[in-house]
Amino acid sequence: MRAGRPPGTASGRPPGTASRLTSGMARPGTKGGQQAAGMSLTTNLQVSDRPITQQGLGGLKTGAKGPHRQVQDKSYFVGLLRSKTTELTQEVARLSKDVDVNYEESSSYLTYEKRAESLANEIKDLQAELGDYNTLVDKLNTDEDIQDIQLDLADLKASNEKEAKNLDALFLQKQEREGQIHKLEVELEQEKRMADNLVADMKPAMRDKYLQLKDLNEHLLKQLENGQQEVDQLDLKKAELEEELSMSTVKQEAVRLYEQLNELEVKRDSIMEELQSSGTPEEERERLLKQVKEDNQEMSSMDRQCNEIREKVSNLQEEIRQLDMDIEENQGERNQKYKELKKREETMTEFLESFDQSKNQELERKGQLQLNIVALLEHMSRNMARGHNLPTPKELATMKDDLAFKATEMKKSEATAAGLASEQEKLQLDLQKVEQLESKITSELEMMKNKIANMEQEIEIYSNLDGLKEEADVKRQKLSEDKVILQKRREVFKKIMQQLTSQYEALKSQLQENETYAQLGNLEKKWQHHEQNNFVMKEFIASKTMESDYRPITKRVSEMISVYNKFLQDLALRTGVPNM
Amino acid sequence: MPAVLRAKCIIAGDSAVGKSALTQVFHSDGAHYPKNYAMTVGVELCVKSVTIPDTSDTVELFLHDSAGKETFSDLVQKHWSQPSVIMIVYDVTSETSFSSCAKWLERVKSQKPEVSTPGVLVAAKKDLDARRAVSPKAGQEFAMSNGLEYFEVSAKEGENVEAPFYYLANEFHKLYNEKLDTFQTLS
Repeated sequence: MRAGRPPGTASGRPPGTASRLTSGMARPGTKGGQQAAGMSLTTNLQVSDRPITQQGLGGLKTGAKGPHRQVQDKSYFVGLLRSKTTELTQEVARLSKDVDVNYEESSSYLTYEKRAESLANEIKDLQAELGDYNTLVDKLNTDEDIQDIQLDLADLKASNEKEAKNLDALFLQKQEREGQIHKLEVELEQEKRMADNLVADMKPAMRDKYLQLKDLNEHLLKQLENGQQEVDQLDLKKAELEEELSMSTVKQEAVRLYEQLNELEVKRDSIMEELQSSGTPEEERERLLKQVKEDNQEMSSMDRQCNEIREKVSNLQEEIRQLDMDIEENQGERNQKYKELKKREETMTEFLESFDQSKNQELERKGQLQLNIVALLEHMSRNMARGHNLPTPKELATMKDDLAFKATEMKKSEATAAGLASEQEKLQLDLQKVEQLESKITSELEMMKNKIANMEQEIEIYSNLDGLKEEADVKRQKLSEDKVILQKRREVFKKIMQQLTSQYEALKSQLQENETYAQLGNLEKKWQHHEQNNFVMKEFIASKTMESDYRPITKRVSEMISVYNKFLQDLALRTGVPNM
Repeated sequence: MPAVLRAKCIIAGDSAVGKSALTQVFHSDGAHYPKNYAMTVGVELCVKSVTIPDTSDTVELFLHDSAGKETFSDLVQKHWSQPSVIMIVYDVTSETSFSSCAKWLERVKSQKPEVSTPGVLVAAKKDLDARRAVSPKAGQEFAMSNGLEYFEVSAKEGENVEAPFYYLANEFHKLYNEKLDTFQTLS
């Protein structure tokens, strides 16, 4: 590819790209330095200048090769320091900014914490709600009644109330206790004060003694405390050691052996003592007697123990017996059956035993019954004899007739009684009416009397005819005077009326002449005309819309179709059912 | 003694519901039905006397045929002081005319707020049954709830036109008699 490229194109390329090409192509020094050189003949790059190592370009150190300042004097270092200080100040600024940011974040962290808390609370609430809903769903799934749920609710409420009450009681108790404590403290304080007072009241010698004793007491208390602590420490140590011991079997064995050794040593000591003490025979005898006594005592104590154990054994046996009985009782059915059978057996034996007796009883009863029958038969025969004295059927018929007659009579009399009662009611009502009438009449009478009095008064007035006439004359005169006045007035009013009418006419004619009025009239007429047109158009539109309204027709048609369908169905049913 | 009572009858309702037609048909005893619509300007007054049955008394009804146009409402209400009886008219083919009955009733009542006046609710144009928009039940319920008597009329067919007026005259006469009685008991 490289070889086939015409040189013209290569030369036409810009030199930069070409150099890139060569550098990227291969390591010119190792492989094809000649080729590369030939390739970029036109460029100014000198390959030989490049630092070439055996392993390619890896050894190239740019930092070391950088052009350093040749003269490193004071100003150079000052510049260096300045740059460093600026860097430091920048760093400091950055850090302070970071700190600020951190502060802000910490402040916001608080708020976030609060929010998180609130959210956690919310989550808790929601979880509780969810639990409620879950239980609700459970209840729904298990098809529980609302009543059950309500019962549960009531139970829970009751228990809650109880708990609350308990809590209240406990709280009260606690308060009481606290009060007690407080009281006791107060008392203690008082006691202390009293003691102080006592001390203050003591004689000097006594007081010295008291103080001494007090010191001693304190001292002893301290000692006691110390000893206690020591004991505790030793206990701890012991526990540790024991633990250590329990860890290894060898040490345990050793302990055992030690103990044995101790015991044996004690034995040996005692034997040695014996040996030493085995002096005179008397002494020996005494010693033996003592031993015998001791042995006797031991024996008696052992006997006692034995007795106790025996008692215990007997107790336990009794217990076992009881338990056996319990077990038997608990064995249930078999036992019951057995018992039943036993009972039956008992009843049978009883029956067998009492058979003779009951037989005798039955025989006695039989005899009695026979006697009874005989007596009844006798009675019957006697009655039969009496039967001859009975009335004949005819008499019976007459008697029956009598009875019927009497019954009808009785009914009639009952009816009459009822009639009488109703009549009495009626009469009572009449009586009431009459009473009312009476009261009315009395009131009317009073009114009449009043009227009469009035009339009498009037008669007095009217008897004085002359006076009346005079009065009438006076009245007439007055009225005629009035008439004259009124006529005058009428004339005046007539005149006023005429005036007003003429005024009105004038105004009317003025109005008629007024252009605006005429215009208004015309406009009103025009308006009326327009309204009329409007109304007519509206009517027309309404009627046309009604005409073009197809909805009622569709409704009617659908109704008819449904009726027809129904009819057809009925027909089909009527004709179809018999066929089927 | 024959008495002549004068009753001021206010006829109110939306425009073009047929107030004037109803009034004129009643006034002319069914002889004159205005075939063309003519808008009423202000108030048209006509007098019709009605004899009360079983008495010798007559009631002269002063029919105040009011304009229904909202433009005249102020003018019209000037003529409405002290009404004796009320007639509210609506068009059965128009829902709006029915719904504005309450408004008209309120206006008339405001002239005489403390006294209860006899009134009727008239559903006009009942001949246009096919275009009916207000059911009789709704009208009756409205009338019941407002203490009115409900009538359905058709001025065009001359059907039931007199009934509401007679009812009003009778009610007025009754009221008059009651008042008379109270006065007599007072004296």
